[in-house]
Amino acid sequence: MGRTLPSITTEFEQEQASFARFRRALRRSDQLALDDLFASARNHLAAAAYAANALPMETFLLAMLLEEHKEVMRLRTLVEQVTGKNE
Amino acid sequence: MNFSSIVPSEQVALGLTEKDPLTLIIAPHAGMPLMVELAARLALNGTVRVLDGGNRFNIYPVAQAVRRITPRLEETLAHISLARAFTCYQMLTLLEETPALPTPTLVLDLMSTFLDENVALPESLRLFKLGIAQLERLSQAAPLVVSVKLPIALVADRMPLLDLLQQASTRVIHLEAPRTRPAETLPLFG
Repeated sequence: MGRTLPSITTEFEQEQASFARFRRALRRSDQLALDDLFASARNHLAAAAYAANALPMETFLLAMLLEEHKEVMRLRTLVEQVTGKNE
Repeated sequence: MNFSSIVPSEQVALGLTEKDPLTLIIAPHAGMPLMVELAARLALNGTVRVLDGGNRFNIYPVAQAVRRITPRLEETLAHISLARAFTCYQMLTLLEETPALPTPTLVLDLMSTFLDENVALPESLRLFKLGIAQLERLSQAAPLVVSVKLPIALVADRMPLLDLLQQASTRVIHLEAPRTRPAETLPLFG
């Protein structure tokens, strides 16, 4: 019978491919940053599949935001350790 | 009246708001981008039935099309009822068991299952004729749009199926794949 819905990995790759022209228009350093964002979203494909959102790109964007926030929290902790402040 | 023409997708979508009998769309990939857009627009106004004969109905592009039109995504998607057939026998049963209600119906890639070389041509032809009768029954109650792709050379012997379908249709629309223009070279000087 085959699949009736593309897998989340396929869908992710299609979404990423749909931004190819956007990526191409960016300067090299921004292209690398964009690639990092997509790579961070890729880490959460299992959760995105479980979410079964009709618009998977929304989940991918949230996954990118999640990774960015984790990085912010990590850096915040690092800054607090360096400066010795405890808010 | 049978006629063939090449029209943009917007006109097809607009034409379906009126009572249309049986519209046949012959296009590459069974006209999926157009059918997806049609399903989204029809779902905006009420229930729409989708009978998928080629396992082509991918909900993600449909959701994107709906989202472009309205923020009421879940509610609009709930208006779409979908059934798939994977063999020509299933397709015929699906058509037979679909009640003739005043609900627009889209039949995607109708001929796909009937092109199966494991089913003999006379049998395929017999089933297809029965299927066309069901399409005519459904089209009397509400607009019905059937999409097919052109049979490739490997199954050229099944071309009579398409001829039968075209004869039964009251409106035939041929859509072509967009032609890629050769890259223009920019003049270096003046």
